[in-house]
Amino acid sequence: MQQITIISGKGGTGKTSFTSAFASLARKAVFADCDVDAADLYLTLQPENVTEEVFPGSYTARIDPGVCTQCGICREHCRFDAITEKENLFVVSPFSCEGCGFCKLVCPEEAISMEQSNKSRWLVGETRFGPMVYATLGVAEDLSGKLVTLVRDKARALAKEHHKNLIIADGPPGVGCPVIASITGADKVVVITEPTLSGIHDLKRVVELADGFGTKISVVINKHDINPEMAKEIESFCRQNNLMLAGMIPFDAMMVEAMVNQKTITEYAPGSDLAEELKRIWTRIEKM
Amino acid sequence: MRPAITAAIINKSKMSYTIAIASGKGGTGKTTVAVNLLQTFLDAGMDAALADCDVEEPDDAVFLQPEFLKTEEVTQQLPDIVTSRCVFCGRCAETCAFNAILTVPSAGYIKVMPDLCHSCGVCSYVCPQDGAIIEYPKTMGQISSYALDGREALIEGTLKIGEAMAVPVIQATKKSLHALDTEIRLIDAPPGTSCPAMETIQDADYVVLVAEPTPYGMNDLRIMLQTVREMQLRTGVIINRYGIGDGSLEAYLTQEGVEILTQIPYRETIARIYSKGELLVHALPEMQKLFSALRQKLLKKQKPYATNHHY
Repeated sequence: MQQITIISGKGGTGKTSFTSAFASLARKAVFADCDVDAADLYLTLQPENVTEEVFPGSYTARIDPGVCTQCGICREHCRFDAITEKENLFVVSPFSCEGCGFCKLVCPEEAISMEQSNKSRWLVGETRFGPMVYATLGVAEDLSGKLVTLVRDKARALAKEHHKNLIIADGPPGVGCPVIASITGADKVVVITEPTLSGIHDLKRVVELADGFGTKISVVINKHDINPEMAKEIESFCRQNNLMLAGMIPFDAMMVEAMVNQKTITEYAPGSDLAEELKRIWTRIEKM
Repeated sequence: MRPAITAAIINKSKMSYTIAIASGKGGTGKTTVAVNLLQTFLDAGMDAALADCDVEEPDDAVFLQPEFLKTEEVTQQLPDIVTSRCVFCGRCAETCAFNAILTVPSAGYIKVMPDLCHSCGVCSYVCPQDGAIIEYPKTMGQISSYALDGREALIEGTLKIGEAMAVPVIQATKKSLHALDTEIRLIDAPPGTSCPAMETIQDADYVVLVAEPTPYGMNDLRIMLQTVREMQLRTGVIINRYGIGDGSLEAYLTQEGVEILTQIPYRETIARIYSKGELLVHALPEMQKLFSALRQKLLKKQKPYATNHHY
């Protein structure tokens, strides 16, 4: 079984549009949306018969104001500055709390409890191209890496169950925890980039990260005509670093039109130059 | 920790206004808005600074071409177990909420997994053996400061490649921004609604959401709006690349009663200027006008006593 993860470093370079195009071109594949923070792949792939399950999330401390004596010991021990005093009451900021339980451990009044979030979900459905796994992350959850790992594991299980030999995963932007979780175990990584100064800057960082995993890396340049010189610079960066340039496409309003119509580009404009180029790009990635 | 305390003292004596620039989806134009807004405040002679908290992919310096001042390392305390002193009681492993300590007492085996450790300090606290757990600093990333027109005006946080945890670097970046003690404090947030993004915007006086009028853009903005409302933060939306996609984003915002602060049109010239890493407000007079109007609009939203920071 093979896993291909699509990432970008910089956000908004077209990861999800490319992933959906690849989904319509691939044979015998399962799809995983690992961008649990901004899961959009389902908008185009439109899964049906969706089943949903709760992903048990992170813990957050809660101080019972009726029991708390405002001694301040919890605040002294918290390393995340998550406990603040508001109008003579000690409160926990759910956004700063890491759920370590130090406060509960040191509270002499036993006024603190740890509450587990149940706001995240993972979902499985059937799309017109094959089965799909995705997830929605609860607000301010810091377990996105774990949720990504769960999505990846479920995709593997689904592939086995449905006798598919390929997993196509849409990854998140950046280089942090969820990205690391998305490319762990990937055989190939496809980086979608754009010919902008910030695009190149972010491409270099994400390639450095993926290099550390020893996976095969290929690069696709989206909107290459926005800045041809910069596109050339990306080409030479790929050559110098032995990265396969799988192809490039120009800016085309059809990409967004297809999205508005809930279709992949290859469905929306079959036979168009854009769709044909995407096919060639996919073939190169498959053969890599 | 020292600069934070100093900043808190100064903070009370001076008026400040913190504006966070955030988005649900990546690549909607947060950076474009942040750098052009900073330049607009500075061009108007105002006391302003920007913190780039998109520490996984910080790009603000690419556009501002500022003068580099200094770099500091951001470290996190990690536990190390001195096996000669450890009695393998297993208390640290049991209490660790992140399963970052693995121990097989019968085999005399104990190991800390740095990638899972959140540096909370619980293991050191529960360890009954003197000197069995010692903490050492591990580099998570760095903070660089830069000057524009001779004044320190940009703080940039960068997560070290391969490190998973962005929050400590974000916190350190914000602390450095607040320590500059400027009147206007802009924060370029990471995309999304997970922990790093929320950590970044939670104490802002106003949140500018940058959105794209596409189905993906609208889906992500919807989640972001719910989040910002739950956090009881005041917010308005900038529609970037106005003209692509369909009109459903505008209709949705009107229906939800969310203010549209401004619309930046989709134009090839803008895309090209952006691609070269140049500032829109210096390249196009109409963009200078648009950002000036935005600056005035944002200033009107400043509350009279909006200085309630944790820093």
